[in-house]
Amino acid sequence: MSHRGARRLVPVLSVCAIVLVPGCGGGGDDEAAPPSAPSEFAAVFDVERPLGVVAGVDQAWVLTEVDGGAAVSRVDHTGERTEVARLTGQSHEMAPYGDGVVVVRVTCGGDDCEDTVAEARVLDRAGELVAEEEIARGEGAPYCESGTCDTVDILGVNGDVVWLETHDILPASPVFVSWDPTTGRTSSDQPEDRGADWHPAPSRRLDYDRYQRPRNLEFAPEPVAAGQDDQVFVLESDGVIRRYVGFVAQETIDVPADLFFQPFDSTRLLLFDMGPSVAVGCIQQEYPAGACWLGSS
Amino acid sequence: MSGRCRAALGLSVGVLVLVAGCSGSGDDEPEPAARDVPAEFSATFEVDSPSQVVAGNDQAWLLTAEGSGVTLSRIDSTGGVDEVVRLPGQGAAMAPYRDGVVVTRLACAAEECEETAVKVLVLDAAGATVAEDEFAREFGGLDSSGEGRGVQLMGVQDDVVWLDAGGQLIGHDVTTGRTVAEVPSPQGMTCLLEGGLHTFVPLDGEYFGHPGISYAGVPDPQYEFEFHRLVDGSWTPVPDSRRLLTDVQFQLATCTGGGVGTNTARVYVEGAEFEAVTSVVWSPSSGWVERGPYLAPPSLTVAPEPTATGQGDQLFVLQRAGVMRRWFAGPDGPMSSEILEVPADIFVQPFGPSVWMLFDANSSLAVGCVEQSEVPGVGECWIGSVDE
Repeated sequence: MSHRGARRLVPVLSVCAIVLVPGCGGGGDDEAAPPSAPSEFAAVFDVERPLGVVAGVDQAWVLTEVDGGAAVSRVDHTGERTEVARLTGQSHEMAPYGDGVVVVRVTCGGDDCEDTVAEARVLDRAGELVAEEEIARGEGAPYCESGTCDTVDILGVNGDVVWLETHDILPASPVFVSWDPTTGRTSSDQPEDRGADWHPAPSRRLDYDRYQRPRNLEFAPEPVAAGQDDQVFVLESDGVIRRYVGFVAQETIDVPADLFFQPFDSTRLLLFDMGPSVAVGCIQQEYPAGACWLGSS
Repeated sequence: MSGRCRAALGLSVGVLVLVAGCSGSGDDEPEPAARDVPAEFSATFEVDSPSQVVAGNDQAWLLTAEGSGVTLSRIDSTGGVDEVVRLPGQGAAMAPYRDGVVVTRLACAAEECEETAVKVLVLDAAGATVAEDEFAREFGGLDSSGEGRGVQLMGVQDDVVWLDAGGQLIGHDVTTGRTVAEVPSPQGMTCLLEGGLHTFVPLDGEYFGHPGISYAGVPDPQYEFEFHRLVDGSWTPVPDSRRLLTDVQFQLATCTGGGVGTNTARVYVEGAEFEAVTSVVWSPSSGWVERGPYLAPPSLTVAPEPTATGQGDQLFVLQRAGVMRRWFAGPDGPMSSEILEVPADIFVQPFGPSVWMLFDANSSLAVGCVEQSEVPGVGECWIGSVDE
């Protein structure tokens, strides 16, 4: 069954939607667009309470937890961070979309929070909102307790279409929803075959054990992070991150060893991603501080 | 069941004075205040999803869960339920104030609930709005888990509503609309007692990081604690309030009956016997005294007594069908007690799952509801005058 949700498209969608389609160049707001990056660069920056990173086009995106919700920032090649959105709610997640990102969350629906809604939005490379859509709506305020939460996950981007999955918001759960930001069309139809332009989002259900060395009392388990396009990143040793695609080991990536290290202690939170032009990562040695790095890839 | 209203004359005078003191109650012509109330009255009524009752002047106030918020109603002496207002939000609680009531809650304060704030509503006896205010506004919406920023009403004293909002103790003057105090919530139990907010502070440096409770047969170590009172935004030691207590006593301290109780109600005594124990209680006027026991010792032949908390941190214990013991700040200091007779067909704890009980009383009126486990969501309620 195909349906349209309570669609809210900002007035500039008709212009910007064209820009959002992968392969269409340009930006909606040249003044706000990030500076062009040199062919080689590296920078460090700090964040608090990091939730996710995405390697974008000549820049990175960072999702951080803030009181009452989460903030989305873009980070240019010098490490300068610009907050572009602050979003209430829970279950925030993001993935690359065109030269921007798609961001999802579960939040209040209605001025009195009568409902719970799962919402997705697309930001262009400057961080401007170009499309947003309600994916699901259920009664009552958002719920999250003892690990049972109303959530929305980004499965990936299939061409122009974002594939999503909601949990516990609707009576039937999980519920698959596809959303095309360029047309505003949503559908809960059975997902079609993934095409050649399928880009899986960083997985929330990564099986870390399969990337770590066998358990040994002499060292702490290695931090592992999920990235876009089935990439997995493992901090093998101080300053050395091994990239995988699926379960196939690829090259190592040199990162600052004074930031990216795993002491003989509890396993650190690692966030990492790599795209065609940028690699970005954060590690949390001590909550809430996150030390981050980005560099050309 | 019927009761006798004591001090009826004094009460009616007091109502007139209090209404006059609440002048400027808004443009709306208020609904008639509670009708002439007989000296003795008793009535039953039924409501869905009751969450709090408050005994007022010749009438009671009732909060019931309603969708994404609560509904506030007045209950007259005949048991008539008059819906006053629906209030969206979470953590709604009320306390008597003058001849009406104060309701506090956490609610959305911006479009699409982008922000939340603590909202305070003051109503007079007729249910007309006397004052409405909001403060502690923050980014972020509501969530139903209760894991977010909660609001806990502590009480009203000298026109100031005291509450704990997300770890901040806030005092808000409803007559001026100003926040008069805001301090982080201390580690220990904080109670609104005579003279203001009081908290319990560990003085012994060894308390922090101690290994926990001891094994059976080994006495728990004691640490020194002291009461502090909030004075002009600072916690100030209360003279002669120090006492040695165990960590369990500190952790389980409760605001009860005008004081702070520090004992668990039931203790296991060597030899597999349970016994009820007195509670070591402190209040500003009495200092440390012993009260209780307020709960019967556990028994396999009797279901545990249902309890409810009312205004002024009164504790109500349904000792047996139709017999409610009220622990309150009486002339004898904290946790004075008396017996209230209540309808035995409503206020009864069968030998089975615990019932859910709400209760409150003042000097002239009592009100309560019971939800039996086999009829969840339906409150069988009673309102009645209180014998002198």
